[in-house]
Amino acid sequence: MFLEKVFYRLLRKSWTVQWWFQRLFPQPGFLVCLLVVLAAGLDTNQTLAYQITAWLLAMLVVAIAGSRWVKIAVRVERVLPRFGSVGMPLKYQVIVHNSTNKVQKGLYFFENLQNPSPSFHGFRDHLHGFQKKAFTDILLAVRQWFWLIKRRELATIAAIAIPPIPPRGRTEITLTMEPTHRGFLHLQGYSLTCADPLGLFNRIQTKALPQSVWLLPQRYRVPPIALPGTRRYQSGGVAFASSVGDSEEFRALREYRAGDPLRKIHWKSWAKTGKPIVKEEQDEFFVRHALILDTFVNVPYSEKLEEAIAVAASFACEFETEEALLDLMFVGTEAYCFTSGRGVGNTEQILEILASVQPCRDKTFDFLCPVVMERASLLSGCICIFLEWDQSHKKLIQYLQKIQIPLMVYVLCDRPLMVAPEEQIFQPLQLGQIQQDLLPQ
Amino acid sequence: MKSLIIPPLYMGLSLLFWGWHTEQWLFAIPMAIAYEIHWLINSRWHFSDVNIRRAASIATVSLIGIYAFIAVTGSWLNALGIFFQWLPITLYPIVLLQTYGDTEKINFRSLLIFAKFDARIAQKKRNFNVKIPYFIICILSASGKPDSNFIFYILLTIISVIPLWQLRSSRFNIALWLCTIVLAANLGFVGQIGLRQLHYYTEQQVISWLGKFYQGQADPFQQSTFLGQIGEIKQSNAIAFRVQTKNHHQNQSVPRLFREAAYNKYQGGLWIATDNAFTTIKSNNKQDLWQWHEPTQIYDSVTVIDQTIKGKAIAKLPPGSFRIEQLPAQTVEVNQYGVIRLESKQKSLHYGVDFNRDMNHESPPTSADLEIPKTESSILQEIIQNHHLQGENPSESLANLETFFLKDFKYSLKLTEPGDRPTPIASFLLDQKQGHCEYFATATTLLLREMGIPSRYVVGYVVQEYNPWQKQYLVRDRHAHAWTVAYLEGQWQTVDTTPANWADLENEQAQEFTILSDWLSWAWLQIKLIFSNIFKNILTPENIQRWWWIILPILLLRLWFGTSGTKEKINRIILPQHRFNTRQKNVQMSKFVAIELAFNQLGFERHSAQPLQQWLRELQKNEITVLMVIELEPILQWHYRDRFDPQGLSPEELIEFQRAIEQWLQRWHR
Repeated sequence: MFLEKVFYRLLRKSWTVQWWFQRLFPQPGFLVCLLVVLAAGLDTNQTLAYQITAWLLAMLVVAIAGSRWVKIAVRVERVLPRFGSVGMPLKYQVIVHNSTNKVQKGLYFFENLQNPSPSFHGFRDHLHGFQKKAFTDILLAVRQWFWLIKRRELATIAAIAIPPIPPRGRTEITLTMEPTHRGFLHLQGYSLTCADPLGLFNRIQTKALPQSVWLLPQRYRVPPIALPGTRRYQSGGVAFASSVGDSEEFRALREYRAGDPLRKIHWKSWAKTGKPIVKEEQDEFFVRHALILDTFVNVPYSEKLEEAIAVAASFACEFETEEALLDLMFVGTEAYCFTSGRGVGNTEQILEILASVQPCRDKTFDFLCPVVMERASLLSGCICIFLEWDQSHKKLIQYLQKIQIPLMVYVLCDRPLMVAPEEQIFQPLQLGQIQQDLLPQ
Repeated sequence: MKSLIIPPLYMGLSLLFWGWHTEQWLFAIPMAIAYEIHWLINSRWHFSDVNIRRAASIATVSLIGIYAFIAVTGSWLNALGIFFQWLPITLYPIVLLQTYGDTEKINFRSLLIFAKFDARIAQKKRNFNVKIPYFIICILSASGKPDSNFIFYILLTIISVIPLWQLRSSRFNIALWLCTIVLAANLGFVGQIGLRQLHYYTEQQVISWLGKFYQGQADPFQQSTFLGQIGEIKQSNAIAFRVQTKNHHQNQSVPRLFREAAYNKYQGGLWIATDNAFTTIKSNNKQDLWQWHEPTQIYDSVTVIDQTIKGKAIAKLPPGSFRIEQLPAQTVEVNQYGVIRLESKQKSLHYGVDFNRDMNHESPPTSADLEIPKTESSILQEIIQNHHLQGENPSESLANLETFFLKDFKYSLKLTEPGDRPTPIASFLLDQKQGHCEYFATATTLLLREMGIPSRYVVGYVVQEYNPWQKQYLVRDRHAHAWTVAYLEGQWQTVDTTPANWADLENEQAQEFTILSDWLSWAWLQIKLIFSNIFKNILTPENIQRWWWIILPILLLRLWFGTSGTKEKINRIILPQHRFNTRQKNVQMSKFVAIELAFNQLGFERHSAQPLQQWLRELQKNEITVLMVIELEPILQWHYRDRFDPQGLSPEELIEFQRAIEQWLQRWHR
C-alpha cells in the first residue's frame, strides 16, 4: 500500500513536471542535446564533449538569469462558447491587452486545464479492471496512467504565439480546442511565457481565469426515427404542452360530479355560485417516445458506454421535440427520467445530461426494468441502446413487444454478435464501425 | 517553438570542423562539397521510403559493423571513441537522400530498421528533418578526439552562433543578445576548466574510496595497514580468485596460504619492500610458460583463475612456486622477495602453477630483515623479558612466541583506540590483546626480529572454501590474510600466529545470498570461458580481418534487396527555381510601406494576413495613434487604387500621392 502510494505520487508528479517543462523550455531539443553531451562527456580523458557540456550549461545558466529580467504586463480576456462537441475542433477568441507604453513581443499563450490526475482510489479502481501479471505490473500501471490522463483531460489546446501587441493596444488570437471526450471542461486560467534574450528559458506568468465549457458527446448520422406508434392518452396531461398537438386547454366549467379530483375544482366559481364547480379540460393525446440508455458496466471508463452515449445523443438530436415528447431513461446513482419536447426542456439540455452520464457499477440492468415498465403505458415508441444482450435485456424487450410498443433496439458489441435468427430483433453496433452499422451505405 | 534552418555553407562548415578535429580530412572535404553543391543545382530526385530505409539499414549495419570490428580487434573503449568519430560518415547517406530528395523531410520511422513500417502511412507523414540532428552529431563527433588546447572550445562557440541567432527572442535587441552570448561563452570557458578539474578530483576520490572496500591487488612496493584505526573492518564477499586442482577434488595438495607480496621494513603502520628489484623472467617461444627457478623432481600443481586490472596483475602463488604455465603475457617479473608481477592483454587469466612446498626461493635475509622501529623497540623488549619468550635457540623462541599468542590473544575485526600507548602495536600487545591478522603478523615479525630472527611480513590469501558444485576453491576478498616468514635453519619458514578460528569469525560476517551471487559469478565465468575459447580459436583478429570484408558486403546486399515496400523508380525533378530563391523579388514595393514601417517602429505591427483598412481601423481605436490614422484616409484610397485599379493612378495623382505620404511622414515620423 505504501509503495503503491509512493508510485502514485510519482506518477501524479509527472504531470506537474510535464506542465512546467512545456512552459519553461521553448526549445526542448536544447535539453536533449545537453543530456546527450553530458553522457558523452562524462570521461574528460576520452572526449572533448565536456567542453560542449560546459558551453550549453553556461548558456542555460545565462538564459535562466536573463529570464528574470523579462516583464510581462498584459491583460487577457477569453471569449468561450458554452458548448463544444467531441471530434469537432472548437475555435474561440482570446483578447490580449497591452497596458504598457512598450510593444509586447515574443509572448506565448498556454491554457491551464485542471490537473486531470485521478485520485489514488480512482486509479487503483481503474487498475483492478486488468488482469495483473507480476512483471508487467508497473509497465501496465504507467501505460494506464497516461491513458487515464488523456481520457480525463477531455480536450487538448495547443499553445499559441501572440503577435506583437502595440503599446496600449490589444490583439486577438484564435485558439483551437480539440475535444476528445465528453464532459464538463474547466479552464482554470492561463500562462503567458516569454523567452530570455537567448531564447532558451521562459519567464512564466500564470493567472486564474476560470471558465467552463460543456463538451457534448460525439454524434453520428442516424436513420430516421420510424416508430409507427399512435398517440397515447397522457393522463392529467402536461399543462405546459402548448405549441402542437391536443393541448390540455381549459374547455368549460361544469358542476361537480362524484369522483372528480379535488384539484380540478374551480374555487372562484364555487365562491360565486355557492356550489362546487369543476374545470373541464380536453384530454391529452400526443406522441411520447422513450430513449432507454443502458449504463451498467463494471469498469469506471468504458469505451462501449461512451459509444452508447454518443448513439443516444445522436438520436436525441434527430428527434423533433416540437412534435413529441422524449423521455431519456437511464440509471446513475438512481433511476433518472428526463422529459423533453413540446416546450419542456430542449435538445441542448438532453445533450448536457448525456455529457455528464456516469457508469452505474453497483446495480444491474434489472433495476431499470420497473422504471420503464411503469411508464410503458404512456409510450408510443421506444429506442433502446444496450451494452449487452442477456436474459434481463431480453425480458424487457419481450415485455415491450407484448404490449405492442414499436421498438428500435441497438446493442453495442466488441466483435460481431452471433445470435439465433428468432432473436434478431436488435441491430448490433460494432465498436469502430458504428457509423456504418447505423447507416449502412 | 522556433525551428532551426541550416543556411548555405553551414553544414559544410560543421563537416569541415569535424574533419579538422578528428583528422578525417579525406572524408570531410568531399562530404562537405557534395552537400553544399545542392544549393547550386536545380535537379532533385524522388526517393521512395524504400531508398531511405536502405540508407538507414546501411548506416545501422555499418555502425554496428565498425564497432564490432574495432571492439574485437582492439579494446572496446577505444572502439567507442572511434565509433563516435565515424558517426558522420555512416549517417551521411541519409542526409544526402533528404537533401537531394524532392521532399524537405523524411519519415522518422523509416530510420528505425527494426520497427514496423507501413509505406503508405510513411509517404504521408514525412515529418522529420535529419539535417539538424546530423549537424549536432557532426559537432559531437568532432569532440571525439581528446585535445589539450582550447581551440576546439573557441571554434565551438563561433560555430554555434548561427543556430543561436535563429533561436533568439525577438523581444530584445541585438546588442543585448550579443552581450549575453559573450557572457555565456566566458562562463562556459571557465566551466569547462572546472568540469575537467571536477572529473579529475572525483576520479581520485572514487578510487581512494573504493580502495577501502576492494583490496584489489597488492602493491609490491608498500602495503598500508589498518593498524591504529578505529571502527570495524568490513571486507567484501566478492570472489578474488579461484583455485583448481588437477583432478578437481578437494585434497591436501592445495596449500592453505597463497602469497601475493612480502615486505621487510615497518614504519608507522606501513610495510615497505626496500631495494625492490624486479628482474624479467624469460619465457618459452609461445610466451606462455614462465620459469624463474630450476624445477625439482617432485612438485605439485594447481590452476589459478584470476584477472588483470588495467592489464596488470600480481600472481597469487603457493609457497615454493617456481613455474607458471599457460599464461599468455607480455612480461613477467620477479623480485627478491618472490613477488611475481605480470602484464597481459587478457582480462581473465587461467594459469597453472608448479610448486614444491618444501622449497623457498626468496633471497637470503639482509640487515633490513632485523630492523625495528625505535618507537616499538622498548615495548617489544619488555614483552620478551616479561613472558620469557627468548629461548635457547631460534626454534624454541619461535615456539614460545606461538604459545604466547595462542594463550592470551584472540581474533577481532573491531578496531579500538590505542589508549595511552605510543603505538598501535604496543596497545595490541599490552592492553587490547585482540586484533586482526595485520596486528598478529606485524607483532610476530617485530618480536622475532627483536629476538634476532630475520623475518618478513607477507600478504596474500587463505584458500579454504571448497565449492563441491563448482569443483574448485573460491577465494574471496575477505579471505585476504597477513602472516610472517622467519629465517630459521637456513630457510624461510611460514609463521602464522593469527588464532585459527579467524576464518570462522570472518564467515560469520559473510553476507547473505552468497550462494546465489557465487552461482552467478561462476555462470558468468563459464560464459566468459566459452567466448574466450571462441575468440581464441575461431574469431581471432586475423580471421576477422580476413573475413570481415567478405561478410559485411554480403550483409549489406542482403539488406539492400531485403528491404520491404513498393519499389519506385528514382525520378529526376527539375525545380522551377532554387529553393532559397523562391521569394518573388520582383514585386514592386508599395509606397505605402514607408507609412507601415513608421507604425512598426512605434510598435504597431500588422499581421501578414490583415487587410490595411482593418488594421488602420484598429489603430484608430488606440489613443496614441488615433490622430495619425485620421489623416491617412485619403492616402489609403490612393494606395488601393495604385495597387488594385487596373487603370492605376495618373502621373499627376501619383505625384500627389507621393507628396501626401511625404507630408504625413514629415508630420508624424521624425
